[in-house]
Amino acid sequence: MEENSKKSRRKFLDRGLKIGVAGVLGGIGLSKLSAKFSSDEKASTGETMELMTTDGTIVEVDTSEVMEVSHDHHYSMDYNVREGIPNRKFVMVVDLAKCKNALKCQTSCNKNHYITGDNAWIKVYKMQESPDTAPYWMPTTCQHCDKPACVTVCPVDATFKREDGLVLIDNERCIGCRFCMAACPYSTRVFNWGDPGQEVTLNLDLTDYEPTPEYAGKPSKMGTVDKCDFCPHMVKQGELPHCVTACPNGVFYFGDKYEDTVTNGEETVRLSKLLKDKAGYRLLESLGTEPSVYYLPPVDRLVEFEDGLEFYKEFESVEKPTEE
Amino acid sequence: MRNYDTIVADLAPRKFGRRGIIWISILSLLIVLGIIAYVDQVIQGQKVTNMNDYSLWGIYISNFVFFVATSFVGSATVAILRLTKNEWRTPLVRIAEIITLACIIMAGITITIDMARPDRVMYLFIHARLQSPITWDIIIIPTFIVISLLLLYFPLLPDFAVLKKYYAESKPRLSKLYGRLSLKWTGNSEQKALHIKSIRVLSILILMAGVLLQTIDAWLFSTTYRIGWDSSAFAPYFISGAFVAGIGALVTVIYVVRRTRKLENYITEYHFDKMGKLLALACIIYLFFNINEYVVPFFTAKKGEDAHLHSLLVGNYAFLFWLVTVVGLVLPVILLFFKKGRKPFSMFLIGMIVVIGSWWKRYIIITPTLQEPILPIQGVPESWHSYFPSMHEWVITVATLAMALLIITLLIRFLPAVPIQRTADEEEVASIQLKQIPS
Amino acid sequence: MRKSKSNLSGLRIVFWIFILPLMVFSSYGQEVQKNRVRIKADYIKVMNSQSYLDIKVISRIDRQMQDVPNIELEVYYEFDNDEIPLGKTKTNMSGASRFILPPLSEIKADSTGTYTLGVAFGGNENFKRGSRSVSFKDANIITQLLEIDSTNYIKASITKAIDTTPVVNSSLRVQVQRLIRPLKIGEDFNYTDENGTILVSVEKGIPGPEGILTLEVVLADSDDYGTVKAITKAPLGVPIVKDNSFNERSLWAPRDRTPYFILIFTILLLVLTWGPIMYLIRNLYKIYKSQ
Repeated sequence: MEENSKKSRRKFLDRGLKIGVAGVLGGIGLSKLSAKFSSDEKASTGETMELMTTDGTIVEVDTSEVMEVSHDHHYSMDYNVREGIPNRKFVMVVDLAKCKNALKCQTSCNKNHYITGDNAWIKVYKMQESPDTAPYWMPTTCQHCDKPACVTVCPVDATFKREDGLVLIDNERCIGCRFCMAACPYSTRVFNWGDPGQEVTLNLDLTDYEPTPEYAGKPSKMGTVDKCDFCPHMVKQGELPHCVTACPNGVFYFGDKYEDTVTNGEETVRLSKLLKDKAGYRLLESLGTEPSVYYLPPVDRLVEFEDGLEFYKEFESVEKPTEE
Repeated sequence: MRNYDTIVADLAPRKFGRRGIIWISILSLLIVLGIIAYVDQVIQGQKVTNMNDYSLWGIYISNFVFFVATSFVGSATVAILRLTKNEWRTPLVRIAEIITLACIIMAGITITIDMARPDRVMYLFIHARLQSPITWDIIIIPTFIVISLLLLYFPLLPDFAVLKKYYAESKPRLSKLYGRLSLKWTGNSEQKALHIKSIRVLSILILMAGVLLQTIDAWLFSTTYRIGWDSSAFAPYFISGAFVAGIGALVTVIYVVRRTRKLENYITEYHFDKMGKLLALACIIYLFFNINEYVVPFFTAKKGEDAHLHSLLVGNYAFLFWLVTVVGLVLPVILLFFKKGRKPFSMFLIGMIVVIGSWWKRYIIITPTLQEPILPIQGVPESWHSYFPSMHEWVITVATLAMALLIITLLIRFLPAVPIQRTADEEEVASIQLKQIPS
Repeated sequence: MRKSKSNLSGLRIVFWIFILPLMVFSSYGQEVQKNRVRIKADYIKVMNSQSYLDIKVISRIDRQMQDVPNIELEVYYEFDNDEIPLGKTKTNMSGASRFILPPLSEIKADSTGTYTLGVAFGGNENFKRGSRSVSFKDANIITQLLEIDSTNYIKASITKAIDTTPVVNSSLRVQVQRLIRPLKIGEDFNYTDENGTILVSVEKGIPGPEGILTLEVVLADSDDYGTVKAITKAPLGVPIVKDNSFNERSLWAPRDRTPYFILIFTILLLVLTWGPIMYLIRNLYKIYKSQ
């Protein structure tokens, strides 16, 4: 069994690498290939490499045709799914002052992670510490703790902490004991109590999907745990997680702590400065879980708390497809 | 003074009567229903339960904790009474050993029922992570099963030899089986020396393993950040609770065995009186830990703790909480203070109440805590704000309880419920071949 | 029963009478109404590297903007009212394509030094044909790292390629390359002076691998020059300090990094229980053998 899963992981890596290269270079391979007809001054090296084209076919091109152009990613795509992208440490900053419970993050997350259950991976809590203090909206994702309580209690290494900061779940390994859910103080984990039915509910063709902890919650498996994964499938392509791009108010910042840079898509700022200027904090710091998600307090708000009440649903976080 | 032959005749296993057969049939029916429900749960997934992302553990787990707790009876009576040389234990230990074995086997089965992917049960060994308290459980439960099997088996050796002889003519095949099981026991001095040494080692071993088992079980909960579980006194709390549950179960089973097998001459009011005192002691100790668990948080009254206490003391779970605490714990203590309360029948009733109280106590430990997470429960269906077991859960749980009772019943059917050889020795009517053997 | 059935068939006839012409009309309409594609093309030049066109194709389908994947595009340049082909490309799943251009020496510019490139789509069964052209002049950015009074600066000058005259009063962006979006340094707008030059201080303490920052000076989306980008590696940052706690033995590590105390406890537990168990089983055997 172990042999098998290893093999499939390698297979995934192999494929992921190809897709990754194709993704980063975009159409370069092809367009360069065609450009070659008019400009033939570069000598061919004689070496070839496989590339996956945008329509999924594999072409062999001369290595001289492939080059990185605009952006030099100093991380390799060839990494172990359980160890993570080397030399990265992903963090998120959530600016509570900007959140007005528009719930676009949740809708986008639900859609892009093919969530079919009743409990979303990203929640926007209606918070009020005491009757005299101000109410505010608090979006929560998985906190991707550096000392994750959920990982500690997992008996089979199904949920694991990566060097790049991500806490992920291997749903081919999970035995469904739910100890991690009991251990998580942020109640962020969700369980597939029944068959997730992604292929039925969402009209997904799941025949070709190989499950991996990085594949955006697809396919979900009955009797296993799911949760927010910080969208490594997007980050790999140099893109932001879905909740970050979906937010109309720029609440979420995402980035690499080592680079000291986070971005919400609109503005890109230094993490340390942001946390210093706006008195960033982490949820339940006293528990010592060392989350990777920072919060900026809801001060000097540009939005009214009451505006969010319109979208607030106490008993729903995943919109069900309406049956016709 | 009874003579040796009457003792053997009285204590040798007997066929079921009509009532016994009805009892077995009912248990079997319940088990079959449970298996059907379980198969359905495996096919459909645990959506057939009423568990949800907040109440992520339900009665499967509280039932598991109950079985683990009850299995402590072996450690509590056998080991402690043996080590403290309490002679009145003789007619009780065998039944305690049987309950222990049955409950620990059922604990192992129950925890697997809670696993949503039973098809991956081998991963617990293949991919075992020692940091997880579940892995410790995976280590200790099979260990404890082996130990309780040995604990049952060793003192049975001389009895098997006795039974071999007893059935030699009436049931030769049964006699042969008992003979095999007796490992050619003759009672010679070498065997007896080994026997004495082994049982001494076993007494210490079962006590140690029992404490470890209860501790690991408590740590399953107290190693989380959950309000109501996150307690450093959880292990002793569980051990003392296990004491109560175990002795409660023992009293109940012993009463039934005494009645059905007509062993009034062997299990006397004296024994019930002693057990009553032991049960009272256990309840008082447990009450003390309960006060610790609930009164201390009441003083610090952290926000979450406060809500948790509120739900227990006056909220959703108040009725159950007070029922379990007052009827299941305080009332037995009061009744057991009176000599009349320690008479067999009232002891039986008290034992029943204590066992049922212990079962619901586990429910009270598991369920309310899960409904007080640190962040509020929002964005999930309204039904997720509470938990009460579904039909599937009840049927399966009842089946596990029935299975435990079935194992106990069958063991009592084929094994002498009261140690024969030891009783004979104590009655000083040792036969010529089989000399005095302390078991 | 029967009556209602005949009623129903009557209704059906009426239904078809109304619906059929509609269907014919709409299917006819569909054939005519192909969707229009909108092509966006940006010229980007990276100094000392390559120039390329970033192409994006979208279409308004059912009142929603959608990416158009997998369509073939032709890239050409215009000279003397002629369209000289440069190559073909295809959009990816998000409707984008990057076309690497040959060196500008192989493309002819008009007398003012303006190059005109075009991207054309020939149309297919779903989309109408469409095209887009983009014009630009060639410009160069030269950067230089300076240290003045122990403050680090990056100096950048932009000149027109045709006559090396400075491009005055245009806004240049200075930024550090980052994983997802570049981190801006200096002002939001740094306008070039009469020499086409800007001077931006590089703040201290920006982390980079081994302390090396990849700085970009960008003339972004200029009407005249497109996007021109100069990339410089500058040893002006602080080295990234990696958190190596991942490799330590910890409670949350995988099982090959179990803390020693847990290993010891487990082994102790196993020895303490299984040792006596083995002893007891041996005793059973000895009892069996002793007679």
